[in-house]
Amino acid sequence: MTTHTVGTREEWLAAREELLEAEKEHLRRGDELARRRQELPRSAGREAVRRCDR
Amino acid sequence: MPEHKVATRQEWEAAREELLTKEKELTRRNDELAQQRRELPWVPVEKDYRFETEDGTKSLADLFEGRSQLLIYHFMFGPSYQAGCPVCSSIADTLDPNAIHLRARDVTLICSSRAPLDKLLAYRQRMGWSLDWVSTAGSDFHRDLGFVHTEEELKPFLEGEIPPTVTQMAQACSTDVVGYVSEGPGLSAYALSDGTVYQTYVTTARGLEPAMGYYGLLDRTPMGRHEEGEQTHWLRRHDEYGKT
Repeated sequence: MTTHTVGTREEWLAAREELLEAEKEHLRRGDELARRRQELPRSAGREAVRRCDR
Repeated sequence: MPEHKVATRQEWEAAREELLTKEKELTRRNDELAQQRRELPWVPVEKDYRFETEDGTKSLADLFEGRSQLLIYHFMFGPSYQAGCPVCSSIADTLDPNAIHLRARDVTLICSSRAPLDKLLAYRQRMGWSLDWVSTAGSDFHRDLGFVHTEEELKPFLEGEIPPTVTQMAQACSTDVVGYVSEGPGLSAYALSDGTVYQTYVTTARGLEPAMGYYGLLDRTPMGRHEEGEQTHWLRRHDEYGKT
């Protein structure tokens, strides 16, 4: 086991709250990338770019 | 299918390259967060919790089964439930086959719930899992972690408009809304060092998505999760798809 700090429940909670914000931000970035993946153009052979309504 | 652009292979590759850079950034950020999780202070678990297991009553230290790390999935299966929560069941579908790999990394992975052990084991058999499952019946373990809510605490929620998904899930567990939402899902991590058990990490809600394998996969499909605007949840227990 690597070295670690031991804290009280309150200390853990404060550190965990801070990390939670970073985790939430990361999730939102993940959502954003999932959305961008869905927006990737679909390659269909050698066709030129066109808007597809359906 | 949503509206989408159609492009040549070259155009797709250019757009994909750009996205790849962002995906790599997200992966590196994920590594940083994992590092920060490991750097959280460890909190000694001072209460002597007792768990009902297939091998009799055990302490938290016993649950490590000789390994140095323990991961517990807090599965929503309350005393009034007749079957486990369908969403937690989909999580257990991800957890179950991974337990053997985690053991190879000195991690014991188990589920715990507040329902009596015989109910948990009967349901486990129905679902075909082999994951160890312990009952915390009569112990404050889930409550102390924030995964049990009293009717008093739930009052504002219960007096509001109950989301259809909550009613749907309560029905799927053959319990009422209060019984269903008294339980909360979660994942908690522990270390055993020199005979002392330390709590190292706890998460809930979307923090559980790494244990919902299908979401990460759906995020790579053309339609994604597409859950927006859906009144009820699409998830079913794995033996209930195609049934009404």
